[in-house]
Order: sequence, then structure tokens, then C-alpha cells
Amino acid sequence: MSGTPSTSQTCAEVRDDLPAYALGILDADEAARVAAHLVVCPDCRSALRRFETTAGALGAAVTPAAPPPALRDALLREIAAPARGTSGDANGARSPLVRFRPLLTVGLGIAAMLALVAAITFGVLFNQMRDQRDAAREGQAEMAEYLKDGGTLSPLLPATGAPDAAQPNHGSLALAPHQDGAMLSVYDLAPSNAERRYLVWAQRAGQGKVTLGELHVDKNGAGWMLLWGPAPMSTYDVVGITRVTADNPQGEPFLTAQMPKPANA
Amino acid sequence: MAIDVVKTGCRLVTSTDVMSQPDERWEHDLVQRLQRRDEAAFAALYDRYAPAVHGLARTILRDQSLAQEATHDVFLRLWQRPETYDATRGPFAPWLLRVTRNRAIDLLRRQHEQPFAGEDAEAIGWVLDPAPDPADQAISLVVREQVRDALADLAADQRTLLEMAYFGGMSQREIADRLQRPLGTVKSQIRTAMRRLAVRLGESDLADPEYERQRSRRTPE
Repeated sequence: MSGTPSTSQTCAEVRDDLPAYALGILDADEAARVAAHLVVCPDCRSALRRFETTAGALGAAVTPAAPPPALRDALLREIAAPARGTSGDANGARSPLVRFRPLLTVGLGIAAMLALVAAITFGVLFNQMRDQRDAAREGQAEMAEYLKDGGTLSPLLPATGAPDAAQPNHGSLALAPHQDGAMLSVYDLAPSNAERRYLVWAQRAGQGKVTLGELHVDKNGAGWMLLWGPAPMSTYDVVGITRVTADNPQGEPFLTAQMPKPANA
Repeated sequence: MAIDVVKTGCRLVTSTDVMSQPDERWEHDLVQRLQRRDEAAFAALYDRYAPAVHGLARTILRDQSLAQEATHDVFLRLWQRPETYDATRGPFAPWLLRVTRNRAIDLLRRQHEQPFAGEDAEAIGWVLDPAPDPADQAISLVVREQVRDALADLAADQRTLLEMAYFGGMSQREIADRLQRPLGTVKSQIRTAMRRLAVRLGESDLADPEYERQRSRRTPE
């Protein structure tokens, strides 16, 4: 145990809560305190992983039950249908080299080498751009699916006192009619990792924040999350993202969105 | 292979070992292929884990169509976001079952169902003396037996609390309210239960020091 003193909770206090944290049964404020400590304490993260594996093992004790074969068929059709750059993802990195292979066979002159370097650079950048585009598209597709029966959107805006990294146009909050949940979609954020986590909460005016969970931002800076709270999401006034980092383990306000008014209101 | 080690007692195994599969290299390869958008790998993982995923979802949701929805969502999400599984954080099976449990609890809440009725504890809890299921490929029978043995070793009350938390998704506070017990007592019982489970599954350094002290006094070596 490292006893890292950089959060308000000690390792011993957090260790007491780790079993419940792994089961996801802490109250929101308790979970937020544990999450803040975990950002700065690798020993407690390690202990958590083992409690998570234990919690996972609980599911293994349940008697399995095969789903109907039609579900398998439907899933396989579904994943084959969109072809979200399927072959390109697997082969895209090789294509620039294939294109320039004739030059290599003629002779490795300087021009060819420069072309190769440029092609590789272009290929890497192109792949990055494509991945980011695909990630954004995926978020948009999820949002479109969520709002297929109508709904309203609200932009994510920098929270009061947010750092410079929080800018407008990082995503939006969607509320579909007749649904208790809401959907949060973000893009162009720094990816989540052990030292940078995004906690999502909801709040009613004059009341405390209710933690809804942790938003995973992928390597392309994109992420989305279906939000469920103790009460229907439309009854909250604001949804926000708190960024927890090693430098700021207590978390800092980052982005917020006003809860959209239901379309049928 | 982890299971042989358990039986021979060559070394202390951990819950990570317990939940690792004998052919985990094959599985690791499948997960890597999945990240490269390999549909055959997806199908193989589905065939391996769908019964475990669907069985868990059905136990939590107690509804066939919702269990299918949860199973569908878990696997579709696995296909769409395979990078959310981080192999450095533990083996694949418990991760997938955690995802399944979380999704099932989400659906349960969405349905506005009463998350858990204490008197139904046995009806939706773990079945500790089940008939073996030869069709189950994902979690070997030895592993399942080991987890069930660990659960059976808990006091019935501790097991009920874990069932309320695990299958019902109830917070400790909700459990305390439901059972009309002090919150501190519920927290302590769940903590002790989880630590005992962890120890039984090989994570000896996660033991509750006080419990271990009392036990060593009761049963001197």
C-alpha cells in the first residue's frame, strides 16, 4: 500500500470500499471519492482489479442458458451489414507501401525514399483521420439510433471554472421522448486512461450531484454513454462531466449540458 | 493450466487464475482478431460465451426477451468497441460477465421493476448444487464448482446480501433500507463476504485482517 496522501481518503479507507465499488453498489458520492483516489493510487487500482475479477467470478456461478439460434444469426447479420471500414481497418496501413512497391524495385534512390517516408506519414495520418472520422460517425450513428423516434439535443459547453481544454463543440446530450434515460456523446477529448478519467453526473437545481458513471473516451477522443439515474433523466436540470486527473484528483468541472426539454413538452 | 495447479496445490492460485481458461492463448488470439474486425473471431467468441452471458442476464432479468436483448447488446457492444476490454486488467471472461451484469441491471432499472424481493432470494440466487451442463463451454465445470463452493462457504445471510447487490443492483443503502438494518452493518457484511470470496478464489492478500485473526484463533494450525 502506497499511502498516497494526495486525496482526502487514505488507502485504508478506500480498501474498505473497494469490494462494494467493484460490485457497483456504493452511493454516488462514495463512488466519486473512491474514483478520485484510484486515479492517483496504483496499489489500490491493483487491489480493485482483483476485486473486479472476484465480482466477475460471481457471474460464472450462474447456470448458463443458450440463447435461441436466431439471436446469433441476427447478430452476425448486423455486424456484417454496416461494413464500417472493415477491410480498410485491417489493411489500410499497408496500402501506401503497396502503392510504392514498384519504386522500391527500381532502386532505393533518395526520391523514392522520400516518397516512401511521405507515403508512410500520409498513411499514418490518413489512418488516424479515418479512425477519428469513424469514431465520430459511430457516435453520430448511435445518437441517430437513439433519436430515431424524435427528441431534443443540448450542446455540451465548458463548465464554470473549467480548464482551457474544455471548449464548446465537444459533444451533446440527447433526450428521446418516452425514455427514462438520456444519451451523452463526446468527441475530440483527450482519451481516458489510468490518470485521466471522466465522471458523469446529473443535478437538480439546489440539490447535490448524482454520479451516473464513468465515461470512456477512446483513443480517437470519442465516447458515448447511455445515462440512467435513480429518477428519469428528464427530471434533472443539468448533466455534467468532471475530469479527474493525477494533478487534480478531486476532479474539476469540465463540461455541462442543460437537460433538453422533452420534444413533446 | 490453472485448474491443475488448483488440484495439485503447487502454488497459490488467484481468482485471475481461476477465471482464466485452459486455452486462454486461443482466446487472447480471438480477442486480438476481434479488434481487427474479424467476424469469424466474433462468431467464435459468441459461441463460447453466449450461454454464460445469456444465463446471467436471464437470472438477473427473469424475462426471456429482456435477457435476449441484454445478450444482443453485450455482443454488439463487444463488436463495436472491442478496445474497451483491456487485457492488462484481467482475463476476458469475468470482464464480459461484468459487462453483462451491468447491462442487465440497466435494463432492469429501465423496466421499473422491483429490483429484488428478499423473499425470492433463493429463486433468483446462485444455484449451488446444479446439474452439470455439458453444453457449457465458456466456464469450465471445475471453475464453476470452485466459485459455487466459495459461495456455499459464506454464511447464508452474507450470500443473501451479495445476491441483493449482484442480481438486484441494489446499493448498500437500499439493502439496508430494505432489510431495516444499520447501513454500517450491511457494509461490513458485504465487505467481509467479498473478501472471503476473494480469499477462497486465491487472492489471499485481500483477506479481512480481523476475520482472519478470529478464524486463526478458532482453528489453530
